[in-house]
Amino acid sequence: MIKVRRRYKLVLPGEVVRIGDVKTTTNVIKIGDKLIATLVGIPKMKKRGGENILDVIPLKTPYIPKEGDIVIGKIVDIGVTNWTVDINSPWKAVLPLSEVFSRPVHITKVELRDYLNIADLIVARVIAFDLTRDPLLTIRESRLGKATRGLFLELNSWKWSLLKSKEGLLKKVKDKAKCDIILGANYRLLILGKTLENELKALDMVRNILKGEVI
Amino acid sequence: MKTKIRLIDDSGKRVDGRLPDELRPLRFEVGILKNADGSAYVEQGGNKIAVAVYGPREVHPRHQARPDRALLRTKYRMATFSVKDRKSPTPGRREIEISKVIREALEPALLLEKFPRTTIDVFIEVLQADGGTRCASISAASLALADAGIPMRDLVAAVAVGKADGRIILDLNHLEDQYGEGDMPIAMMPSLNAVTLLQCDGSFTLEELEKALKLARKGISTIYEKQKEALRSRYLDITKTYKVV
Repeated sequence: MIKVRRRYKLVLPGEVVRIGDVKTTTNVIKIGDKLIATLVGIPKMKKRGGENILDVIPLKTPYIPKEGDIVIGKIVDIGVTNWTVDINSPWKAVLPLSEVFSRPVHITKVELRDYLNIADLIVARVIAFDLTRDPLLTIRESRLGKATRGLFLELNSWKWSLLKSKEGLLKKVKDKAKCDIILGANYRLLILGKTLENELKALDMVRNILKGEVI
Repeated sequence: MKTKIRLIDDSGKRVDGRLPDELRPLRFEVGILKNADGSAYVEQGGNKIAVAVYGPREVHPRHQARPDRALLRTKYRMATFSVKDRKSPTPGRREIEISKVIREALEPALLLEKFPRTTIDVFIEVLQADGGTRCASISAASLALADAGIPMRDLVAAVAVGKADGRIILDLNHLEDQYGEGDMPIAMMPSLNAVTLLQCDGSFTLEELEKALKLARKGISTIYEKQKEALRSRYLDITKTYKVV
């Protein structure tokens, strides 16, 4: 067991994170030569492509979908040729029929409800989103699709970023508890195991990872 | 009606014993409601106000949605028991106007363009009113918005300045609001040094106006510190030192 001592610096909206000229994420705005936080969070320097980027990791913020994100969604509505999915973001996502079946289907012959019903959980990928239209999802890939069992957890952006930064530990948990752990980009977590025991074991371990750092 | 009520006595103290440049006792609390995305509570003198923020979420009715930015909707409401005489629960002209004024005071602080086609709903419930509710509401609402994780340029802090018995006073209470010679609510984004709301009732000379603005700025900076303190204490747990396994 390694003991690490850390002290976080918390910044609030309007507070100066740094003075100077550094590249920033959209969580930080530039006013004059001041770099100002727009959210309650922890400032952090990131390295992206050899460049230093100043970010504020928010403690809580709405999820903004990005193309390519793996998300965990809940079916909330069924249309004629599509499903509406709650992906924990300000916009409801759309899952069209064509992104569920690999073969052409006739809508008069299939009952959408039989494949995905309201309140079903799915693991999906965001294939398109540009703020002018609702996010578009697909489940036509391996590892994607309906979750028929498992434990479902809602995190916040802070807990999520902690888990995200400890992917190595998560992998260990996966091996130890013989579970699949899906960390959705939309601050949701899904633990899929063969038995409930395995899943609860994995959940305990995930909680341990978060321990001491949970809000 | 302007009557001959004395609002400042011979020793220079106001009806509630304050000095002209003194704020009422102020307390903020963040995260009081579990169901809301963000919430805050404020007590300023006799004012008791709860604010809840929902969103960003889908707009209903849909035609109100704006393609380039989020819609900010504020609803200021006074409880029937918030004043001595029962207040009718129907939103009156005053409440509708104050809702608009609060919305316009908050809008410049928010980065609404990050969430197009959505709405952010702010519900303000005045549980007890004692003058200056719009200012207390603005201060609390900006905290609730920050708590909801909505990106903002700065917190918004507000206070009223006014004139009573010919003197400029800070943070008016109900009596001073009603019988004073002037009332000027001001909201600011203190770090950016920008004014987001300035209303004025009564008459002020240019010198008085300057003096009033100076006093308001002083009051706002105190309120701003209290806001930040309240927001920080909500997340106190993680600012402590922790052992990580």
